[in-house]
Amino acid sequence: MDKNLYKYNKRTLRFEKAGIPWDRILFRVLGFSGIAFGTFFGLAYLKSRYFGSEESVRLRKENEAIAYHRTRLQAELTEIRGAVQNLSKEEENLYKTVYFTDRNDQGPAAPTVNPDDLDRYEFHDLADRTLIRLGSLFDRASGNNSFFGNFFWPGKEDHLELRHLPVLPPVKGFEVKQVACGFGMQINPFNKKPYKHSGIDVLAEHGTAVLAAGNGVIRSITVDGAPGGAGTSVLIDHGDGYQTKYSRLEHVLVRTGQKVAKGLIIADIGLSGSSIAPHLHFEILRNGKHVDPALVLVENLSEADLVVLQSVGQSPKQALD
Amino acid sequence: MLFRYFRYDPIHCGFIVDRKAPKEARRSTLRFLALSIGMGLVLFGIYALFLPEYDEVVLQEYNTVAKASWTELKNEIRELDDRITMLEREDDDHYRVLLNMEKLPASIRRGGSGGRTESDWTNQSDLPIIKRGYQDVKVLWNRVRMGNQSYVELKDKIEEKEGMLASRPALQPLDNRQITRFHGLYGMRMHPVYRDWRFHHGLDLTARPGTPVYATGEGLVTVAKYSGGYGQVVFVNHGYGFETRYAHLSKIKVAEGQKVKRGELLGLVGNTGTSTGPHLHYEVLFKDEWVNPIHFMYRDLSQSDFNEIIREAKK
Repeated sequence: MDKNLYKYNKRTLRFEKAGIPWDRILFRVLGFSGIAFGTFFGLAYLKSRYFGSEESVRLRKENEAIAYHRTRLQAELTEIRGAVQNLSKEEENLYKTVYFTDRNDQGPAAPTVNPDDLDRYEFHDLADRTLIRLGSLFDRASGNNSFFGNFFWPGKEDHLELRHLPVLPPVKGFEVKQVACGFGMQINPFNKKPYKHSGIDVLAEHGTAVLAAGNGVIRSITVDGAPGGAGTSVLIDHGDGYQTKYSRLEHVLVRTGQKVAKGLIIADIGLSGSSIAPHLHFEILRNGKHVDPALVLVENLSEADLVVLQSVGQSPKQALD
Repeated sequence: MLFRYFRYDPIHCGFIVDRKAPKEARRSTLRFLALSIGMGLVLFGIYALFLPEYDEVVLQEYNTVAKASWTELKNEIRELDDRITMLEREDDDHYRVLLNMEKLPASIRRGGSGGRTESDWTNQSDLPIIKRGYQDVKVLWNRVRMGNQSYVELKDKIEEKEGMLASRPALQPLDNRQITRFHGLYGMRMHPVYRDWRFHHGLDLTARPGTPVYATGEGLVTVAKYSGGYGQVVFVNHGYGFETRYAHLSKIKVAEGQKVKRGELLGLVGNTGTSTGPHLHYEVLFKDEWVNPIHFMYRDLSQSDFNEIIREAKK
């Protein structure tokens, strides 16, 4: 028999000699290695699955457990995420009912405080005057002694003068987010109509210490348990036309005529007067006129805090009265 | 696809398909299978003899990958934890301070009982990270549930408070335009009729007879009658310790036991009782003691807002 292999050529309609039958060889090689490796891997799997070491059994179990519980926990977390979302929505509704306004989620708006407003309150007057005095002292000192030219430190009395400015937020542990209602036209909690709010409301727990905003003298103390008006209040005279009034207090810890230093605890927060929540109603008066405390309070406040503080009063919110 | 091959058959002088006889084909297939399986066995033998722990290495690798993917889960838990913490802080440090309520301690928020039963969580692995995951999820659920519960509490309290705010006297009982003289004197004064020093317990608002008098807060009319000193008088009990009195009326427009809203018409200004001219005598009492009504008038209310309150009360 002829050993040659032939192929049938459909185009020429003839049988032609075929070369090496690569397809057959490939088929056999693939088949061979496929079955060989299939057997090998099958046996290797069976070995590790049923005759594996303790370690491999443990690892296999662990891997399976992780995969299974991961999907389960993932499902739980998705559910929790939904529940948390609902919770935030509820919180927004609470805010709305409490403050009679939507929460400003865009963060504090850029304050539209006119620098002239500050001048109107003559807030910088004292600071400027002190600065001029410091400048002249500095010049004089540096003319006499080069040490002062390099290491100048303002005099003690200058410090004192600056400390009279009521710039310290008047509640212990003050944070700007505690300012629940700002200065200006706000919403009256009782009849829900706009009214003039003469100070800021600092929300704080009942009994929180109230601090003197600057050095000064206690001008008057009103103790009033009646449920209307300012309630128990303290008026401090800081000199230079500045006065601060602290109302809705519980206990007053100072006497009329007493000199107080900035930061001294003068009273604690209560629910006196027309208060509907424990808070301090804080007013700053300049020559007898109410000014926006957000423009005066600066101590211990960062730039960002000041932006927040000054933007509180810009959108009417329900006051704590 | 395999080609079809032919061979030249000199006996038949023709081409025949290159195919083995069935018997031979079967034998060669079996041989082929035996050879390849044998080869597989040889390979396995070598593997089992020389690499006995190789499967552990592979499994260990899978394990590492699986554990790495677990951090994703942990991150999600942490993120949710942060969000809930923020809400809790707002709840405790803001709303609970505002409403003068006790804070919810973390132990209650985290470890509240109830809800998912323990058995749901027992079917878990002893693997520490999985256990930890379930614990975290359980705590998250507890905190969410307590948050919801807390909000229900807060809402109740707010509602109660809103009721209190609505019933508290907070309005001027007469329209500003109709007051001819606002007599802001509360305290000791010379009595115009008896001509002696007496404590004046209210404020006098002078107005023409027939000017409408409005209730200053939600409440219940407890007295609406003629009495010697007050003349035609209406007492409104607002609850929460507050009472208001409107005296010297010429006409009473409400009946005892009637519920009134803030801004509702009570009567008309008159000159009845011990009075020297038509005016409204307005008193505010807190826990049966007189307080200065000026604190409950909010005189800076704009005219349009005043009108709106009166209009709303009419509905």
